Amino acid sequence: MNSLKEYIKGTGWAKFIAVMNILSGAFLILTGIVGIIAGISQGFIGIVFGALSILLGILTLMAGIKLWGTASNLQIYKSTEKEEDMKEAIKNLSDYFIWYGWAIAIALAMVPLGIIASLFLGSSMPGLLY
Amino acid sequence: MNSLRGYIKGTGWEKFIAVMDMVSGALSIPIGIFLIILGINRWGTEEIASKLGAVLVIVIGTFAIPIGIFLIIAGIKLWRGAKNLENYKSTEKEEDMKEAIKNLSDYFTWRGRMEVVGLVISVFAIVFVIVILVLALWYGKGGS
Repeated sequence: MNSLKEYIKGTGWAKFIAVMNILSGAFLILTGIVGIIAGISQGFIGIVFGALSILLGILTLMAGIKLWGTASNLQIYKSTEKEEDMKEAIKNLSDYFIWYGWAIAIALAMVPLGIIASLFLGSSMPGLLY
Repeated sequence: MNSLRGYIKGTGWEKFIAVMDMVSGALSIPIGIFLIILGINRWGTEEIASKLGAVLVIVIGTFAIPIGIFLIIAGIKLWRGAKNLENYKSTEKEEDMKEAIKNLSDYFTWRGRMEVVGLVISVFAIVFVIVILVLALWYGKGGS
């Protein structure tokens, strides 16, 4: 199955997406820490969203690391054609989709939570709109 | 290289991400069109800050359309890649693995393009909002 190397392209794009994932993951973790610190004095909503943001950040960061690993393995496979490199690439790619899938699921779960939190905050500040 | 099948997992997650990409892409296109129409309607205002706001909305709307198209194509490629990997797991045909690699490579290419467009629009929006705020403050202080 050595002809597989001819079908491998876009590893540069994969590395770019990996870097974006790592950067956004780190940013989400920092945002979460700030949210928790603010939440300690401001209320529990900040703590909940801060914790979720940290979780989302860790998942995105892990996805980025796995994708970087995949792209590197594929680049090595293209030059060496060693079976082990392709196995590692497939393993890392599968892991990437699992981590990224969880990140999307958590982000989706945060949407209704955000709406509920907004309604809760809105109802606790009746004078806000007047 | 048949032992590769033992390393394939998470194809269900791939399909989930593919569906999410396609749905977000399908939502992004009408939102883009809506924003363009909204921006055109707000163009007639007198204030320069409002005019710039209308330009920002039009530009974001214009970028949302290619982002949506790229996301839909990426989603389709990822869905196909996941199907190819599932087929390879059951049949171990070399052709399925080749197709999977081809589709997944395409997925990352389209997704990368989408992220570039997203980055460009984010930077543009940040710069534009700063300009609008500065102008609004300037006119608010009685500048002419």
